Amino acid sequence: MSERATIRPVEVSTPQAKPAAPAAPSTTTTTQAPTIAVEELRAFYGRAEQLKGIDVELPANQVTAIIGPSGCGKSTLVRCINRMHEEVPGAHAEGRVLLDGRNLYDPAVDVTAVRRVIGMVFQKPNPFPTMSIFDNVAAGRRLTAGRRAGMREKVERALRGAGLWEEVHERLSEPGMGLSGGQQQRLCIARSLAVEPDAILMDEPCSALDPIATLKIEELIAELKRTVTIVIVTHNMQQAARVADRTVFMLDGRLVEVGPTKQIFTNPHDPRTEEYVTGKFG
Amino acid sequence: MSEDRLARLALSGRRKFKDRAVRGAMLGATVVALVPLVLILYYLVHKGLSAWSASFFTTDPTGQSFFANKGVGGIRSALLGTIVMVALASAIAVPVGIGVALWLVEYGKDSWLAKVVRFFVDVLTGVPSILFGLFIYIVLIVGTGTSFAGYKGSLALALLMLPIVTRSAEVVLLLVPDALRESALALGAPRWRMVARVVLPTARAGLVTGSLLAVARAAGETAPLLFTAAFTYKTSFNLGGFMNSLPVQIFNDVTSPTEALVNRAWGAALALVVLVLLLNLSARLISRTGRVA
Amino acid sequence: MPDRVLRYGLSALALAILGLIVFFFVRLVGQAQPAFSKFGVVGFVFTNNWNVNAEQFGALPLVVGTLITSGLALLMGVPVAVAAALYLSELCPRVARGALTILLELLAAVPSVVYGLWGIFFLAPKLQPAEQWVADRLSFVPFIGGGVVTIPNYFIAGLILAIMILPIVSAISREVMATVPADHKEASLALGATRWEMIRMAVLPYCRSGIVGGAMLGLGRAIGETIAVTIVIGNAPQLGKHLFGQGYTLAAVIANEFGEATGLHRSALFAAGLVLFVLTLIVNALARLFVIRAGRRTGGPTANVEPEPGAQPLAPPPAAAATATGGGSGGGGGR
Repeated sequence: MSERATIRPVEVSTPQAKPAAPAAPSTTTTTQAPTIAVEELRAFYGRAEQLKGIDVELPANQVTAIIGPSGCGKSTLVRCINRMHEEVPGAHAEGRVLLDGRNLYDPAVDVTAVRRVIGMVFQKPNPFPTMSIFDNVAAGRRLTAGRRAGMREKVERALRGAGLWEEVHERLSEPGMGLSGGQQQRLCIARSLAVEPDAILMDEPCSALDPIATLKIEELIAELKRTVTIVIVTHNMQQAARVADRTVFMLDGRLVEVGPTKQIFTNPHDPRTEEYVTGKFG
Repeated sequence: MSEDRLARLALSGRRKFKDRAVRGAMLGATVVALVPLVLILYYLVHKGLSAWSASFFTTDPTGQSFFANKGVGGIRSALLGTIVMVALASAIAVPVGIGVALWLVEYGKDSWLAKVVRFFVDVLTGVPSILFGLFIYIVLIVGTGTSFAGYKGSLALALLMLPIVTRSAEVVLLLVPDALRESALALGAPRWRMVARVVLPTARAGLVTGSLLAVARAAGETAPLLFTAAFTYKTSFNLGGFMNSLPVQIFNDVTSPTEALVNRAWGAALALVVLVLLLNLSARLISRTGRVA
Repeated sequence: MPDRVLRYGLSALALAILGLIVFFFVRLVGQAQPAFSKFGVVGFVFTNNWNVNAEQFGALPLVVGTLITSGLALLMGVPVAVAAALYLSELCPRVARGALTILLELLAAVPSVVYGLWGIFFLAPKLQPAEQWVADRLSFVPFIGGGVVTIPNYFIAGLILAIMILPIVSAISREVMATVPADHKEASLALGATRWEMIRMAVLPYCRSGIVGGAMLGLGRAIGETIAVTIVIGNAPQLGKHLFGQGYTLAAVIANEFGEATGLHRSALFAAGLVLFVLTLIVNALARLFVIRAGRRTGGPTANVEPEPGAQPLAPPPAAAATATGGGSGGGGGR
């Protein structure tokens, strides 16, 4: 594990800095985010076993990319981390997901709290079509905070965090669906930032976007990891190489190899990983 | 830190209560919605079965209810009248309805005329059934100076069925994949052959289902028959004369009630509901076993 | 050659439908003419005097009766129908969903005359004491309290109508709900929403116009429903003094009096039919507009919603259709 530090472009973990709540990303502050540990995770759709026992650690304040051919279970894995998998009819998961040691699958844990703490960004931008930009960002907070004062600042902070503030601050009351695809996706990121999560899961967040919008999101990811732990599923290996500190390679519902991104792409230990990253299949 | 947050962010009592309460209310609404069905079926069976007997189905109503509370007869003429009139109505409405749907799907498509036709078919679905009766009355009774007749009742029912058949047929025909059509046309088949050999057979199960549902609907209708086929006691297969039907006989029995007539109405209603439900269930079975595409 | 026969034959059929409706409208106006020329259109609709013996025909009691009963039906039927639709499409365990859906749709298969029979001999007598209790307790409320509860009355008619429109409103609501993209629902769940919060955040706003359309189709049904109402409303041609008193509706007056009507009376009944026709046309056109708008937004199949209960199993799985069409452009979805 020692080589990890050498790969990481910036050392961001500073355990001393520990404000009460994660601050919006800026160039100066960093926040200690939690480590996510997946243990013996199995996921099912009906009887079909999609994840066949996954053990992996997703370190704090890092970007971990999950790669693998279609159907290998990478989306299922991230959806198990914030327990969205079980929302699919007939689906369930077994095993443990530890957030700084706390098992999210513990019956005593409230599933809505899990999702507040671990946000999610989806493949297709999905702002609520009937809501304005402002309301989209505020939607999550309103569940708990009501319409208390201070919402405006929170929304602004989230939009700034998603790098969208400059583009939309003059038209916050316009519908979110009026934005471009890339802006919509950043709006969705702002929406999950607004509830101040400790980690954000991204399920192929750029697959519906053009290259310029993709670049913006990737820059954003590099910013965001100062405050949150990030897991990103991608089918684009260049993207994984660009944004991720660590990369997980999956095949057929199993974890094949995990390591620093550079090592996975330049010196994989497993021949199957090598075949995949060199484009022999998938 | 996460541990605190997880606990802190857990659902507040208020949110949890609200969620539970609303879910409970929705389950409650579903139950409430089903209560009438259970009650109706229970009372139908309870009251209807006691009216049933072999002679109930084999005798005509007698009309002797003004002085005696017995010997009111059964429902033979009503049952047969319903079957005959609905059969004729189906023979008219099903081909025409499917024809219109075929035109909409194969020729009209998105043209303005097709949109107009679609709109008018929708309008027809919304027309109260009694107005179909009035329509036939105006055209075939006032218009010709003749009296009530079974076939006029059938026509009123056919008008009622037409939009139902067309609407469901259109949905089903649209499900036939275009690739199938194109491959038939690519083989050099003329359009009518393609329709007859490819489109209709592929959509058959759905067409039958839609038609059966329309038949079920027509079989239960009273209002269109009141001023078209009228009412008679005698069994008759003459579509040119007055005809009895189950719904009209029930309506008459309910509105001039003596105990014997009400009992006959319950028995007739049970027979009618059994008939309609059988049609409905067979429609559903067919749609389940033979789905298009 | 056969191609042209098919083409023109089918076109003729389609045109015949248009012709039929126009023809009916014209003939109906013709038959109603004597009544309208005697009382005037406005006078006919807004005069509170329906007296067969005096040959006075002002249809206000009928129009009001129709509006009261169908309004009651909406008030009681729509909330239950929408809630049941939400339960079936968002909350119900999958194993029970199919059976419950079919049961709910069977409610639409029960013939109208059977509702009438059940309503007058079971429902109305059973509910009369409760109605009287309410009327006594609320005696200070105008229109609701105070009077003597008769067995056939406006309320019973409204209740029966509510039961009758329930399956249609519910079926259309469910179809519209099925077009809500899974993305939106997941987005709200991923923010930590409960099921109810998800419904409020993602499902209901998306379905609003479809549900309104479904409710209006139900209203159209309630306005035009004849036989069941004729049996349970009491057929008293005056403005009911209160909710639990007897009344009359446009459809009921035709069913009840047409058989014996002659001359001006018959013309007045045709005029009542015309008013009913126009009323249902307006309501249905509005309903279609709402449902079509909902369908256009989602690109789903709701534009083709057929208010018959059986259309459900025929329609393509709406979710699949919605994702297929919705996948193209995120921005095209609109509001």
